[in-house]
Amino acid sequence: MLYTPGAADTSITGSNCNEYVFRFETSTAQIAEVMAQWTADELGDQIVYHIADYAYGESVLNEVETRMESISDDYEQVGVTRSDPGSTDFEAFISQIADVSDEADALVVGMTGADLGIFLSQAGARGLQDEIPIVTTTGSFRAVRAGAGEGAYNTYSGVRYIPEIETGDNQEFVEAYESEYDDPPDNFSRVGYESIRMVANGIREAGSRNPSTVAETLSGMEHDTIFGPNEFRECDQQAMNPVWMGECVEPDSGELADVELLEELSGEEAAPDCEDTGCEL
Amino acid sequence: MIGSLSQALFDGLTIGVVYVLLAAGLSVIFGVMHVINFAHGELFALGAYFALALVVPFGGTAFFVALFVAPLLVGIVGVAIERYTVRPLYGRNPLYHILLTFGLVLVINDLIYLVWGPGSVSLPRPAVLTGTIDILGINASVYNTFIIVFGGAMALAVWATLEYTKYGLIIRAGSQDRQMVRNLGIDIDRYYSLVFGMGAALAAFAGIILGGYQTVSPEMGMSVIIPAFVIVVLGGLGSFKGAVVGGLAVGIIQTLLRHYAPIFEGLVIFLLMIAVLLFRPRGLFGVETEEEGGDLLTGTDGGLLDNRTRKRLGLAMVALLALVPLGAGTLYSTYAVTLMIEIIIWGLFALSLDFVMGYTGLVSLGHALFYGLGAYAVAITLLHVSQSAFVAIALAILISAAIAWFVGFLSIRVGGVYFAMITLAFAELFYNMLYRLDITGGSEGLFGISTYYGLAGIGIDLGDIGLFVGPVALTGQSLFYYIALGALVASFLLTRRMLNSPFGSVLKSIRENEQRATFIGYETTIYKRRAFVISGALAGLAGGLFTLNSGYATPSFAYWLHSGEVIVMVILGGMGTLYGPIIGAGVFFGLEEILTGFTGRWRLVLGTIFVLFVIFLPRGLVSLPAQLAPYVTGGSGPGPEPAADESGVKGDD
Repeated sequence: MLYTPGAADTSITGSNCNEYVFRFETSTAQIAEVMAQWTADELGDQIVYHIADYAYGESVLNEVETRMESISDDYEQVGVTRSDPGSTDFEAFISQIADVSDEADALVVGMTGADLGIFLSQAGARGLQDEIPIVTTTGSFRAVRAGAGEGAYNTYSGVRYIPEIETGDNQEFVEAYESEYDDPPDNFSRVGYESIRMVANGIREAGSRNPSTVAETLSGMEHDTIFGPNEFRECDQQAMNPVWMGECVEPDSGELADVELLEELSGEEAAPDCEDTGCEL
Repeated sequence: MIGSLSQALFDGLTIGVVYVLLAAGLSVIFGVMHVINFAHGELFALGAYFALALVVPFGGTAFFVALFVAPLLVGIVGVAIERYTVRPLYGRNPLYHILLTFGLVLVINDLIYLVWGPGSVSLPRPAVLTGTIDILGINASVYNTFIIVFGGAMALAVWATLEYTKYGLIIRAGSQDRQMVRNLGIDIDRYYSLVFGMGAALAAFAGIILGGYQTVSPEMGMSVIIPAFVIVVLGGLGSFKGAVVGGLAVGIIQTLLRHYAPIFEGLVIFLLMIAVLLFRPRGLFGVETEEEGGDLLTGTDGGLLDNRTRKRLGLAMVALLALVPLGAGTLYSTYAVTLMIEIIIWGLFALSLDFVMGYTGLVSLGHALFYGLGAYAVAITLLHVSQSAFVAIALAILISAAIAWFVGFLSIRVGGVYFAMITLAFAELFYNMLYRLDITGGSEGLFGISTYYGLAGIGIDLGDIGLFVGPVALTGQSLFYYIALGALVASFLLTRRMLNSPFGSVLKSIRENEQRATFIGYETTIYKRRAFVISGALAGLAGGLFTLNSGYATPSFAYWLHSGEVIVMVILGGMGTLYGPIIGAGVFFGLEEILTGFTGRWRLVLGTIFVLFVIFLPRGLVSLPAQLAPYVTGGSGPGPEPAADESGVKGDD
């Protein structure tokens, strides 16, 4: 069996990797690279964190911290608050973050999905965005922006994908997707599409449906993808995706925030060194 | 410090007011009609979605219009629900209301998915309700202040209606003693629809203001229903004052814990709920309510077949099931074996619930606790103690039995809906602990587990051996299939033997009339506890087998919805028969398998079928042949469904 997960937790192609797991989803390690660099350059190195208390949240905290420490000698973690996954009331955490907002340069949020949407919505109602810049890992996701409403405005986010990018054959994919579903594709649409396409390439190239043969072929194989030439690199079988930093801004019409790209890192720049992944393949 | 405490209290008050509105409807509905409305959370979500449908096209200012129109619409839905689904069940055991409204949860939730799709959506708020203000040094959003003021005013209006109007007087009197109200010449039945509609409208109102505070999502009903039950139990089932005090208390306690002791956040309210149910089951402000009449309807009376034919049919079924792996990969996909293993394991789980529900009348709303316990016991044993499947399963059974004894020891002293609530509380406590403990792997659960079938390091790995039956090689999953089937058949025979023993006779007598069983000298509590222990052990075996086969355990195993689903299986098949629930599990997964081919919203169909079963065929599928017999043979059949004891609810005019 080949597994191409949509989760971003670093350990999937890190310490918990195995030869049958290939990931086209951009990992937290890759997104943390651009987030940490941009945050340190543009906002500062005194960081307060709020994370969802499970693997993904911890992964964001660890990855951003590690990079901030390597970028800045003066880096300091001002504080960390943790909410249960699936929480719907963040008032207590927003109050705690507001209390330390004078000491911190930015708030990094390690949550996704409905948790993040609700957090941003409640933070927006409390005016937290005016007190401290908010940097998220997945605030650029369409589903999160839809949930956060006006709360998403003026927040920053790592960007794994937006339909507007003109890399590889992305625009053909967007066109085909829109004609099928009448909606632009989101991050998960492109993960599903390209994961299957890359596995299909592997099966075609291997000339076999045997999982072991396909896995061997897929590892390190060159593909043309929506991000241009790409591969599941041999050392951890993680796709070498480019990453961006973006800002969610108020749209000209409607309520759904627009995403403006601020900075880009190539696949090579974003990927951690093979020896640092913890993956032994 | 004081500033931070004030801020926490304000934050707690915000959510507390929403809880008050949510719980008030739930509590008053119970007080008047003795209906535990599981669908209350979905009516809450429906309110938010109706508001969304009004606000999105017309902009934020339509919010105020939606605040009145959407609850009205949901109120009408509530009246329809009472009129067409709840009303036919009056006079039956109140536990059927739980089952019915659980079916409605599935239906309404899937309807929401169908109409509005998945994902969270922001409910736009009018500009006047945005921004922040400082109140006595507290940084508050205008919207949160609006929630407290407007929600508080709404709660006050409900209180004034109950306190100072004629309708309120009748409703309050009805919640204290319905029969007395009838004796006074008032037809309280006419008020039922009104009360249900008002409760639904209140839930919708709470859904809208919470939708503006958080987001609107199809899961929002599921996420509030359990806190709502906690509040109603704490405050007292049927008490408006209790809903107010309980709602505010839970909102503030949760927020304070989040501030100062987050590790206890998900635990304290359930511990409080358990404590209240143990020491003051009627809650802080509740009144003693008369225990409703009406029996749990078992499928035992509906059989057409004699024992001998039934035995032969059973043997034929087992023989047929034993053939399944032989055709996998040739006649049909190997997935058939995977599916059948799931059905067998859930069949065992359903059988375990039937042993306690169908034979002693104890409806456990927290049976997923034991399933989860068995699964985690196997996972932890295999990871840390021994890789022997025998040791792991033995420990799973023992631990599940021990915890069942403890839960039973505390819970069985309360009966009826209180027992259902306390088992739900224990299961939620366990579910929350799974997320917090390191040994259970937190939210990730435990995975990557391997095992061998043997002892002391000597044994076999099912994946490494093959058993040849003619041209067919059985290995891995196919071999495990026989282990699961063997466990199910053994459990069935064991429980059937127990039920045919004097012990089983006492259990049945408890179900039929516990008071009489007590009068003739049986310590019914002890018998019920023993049955609960056996049931817990079998549920643990089911969970353990699942983990043994799949190699993982996650907190979702103990989610409350699974407790509801296993009840669905028991009722679908036929309670009190042992084999009926196994058939129920087969139908449940079979329907899922067939329906998912056509729609992702298969629970809508399943929920509808379940609702129809609860209303029209409460004895389950096993009673269907007997119900149909008169139409086929022209004979008299088993007679009509025993009419509910209507005297308990109908007016005496």
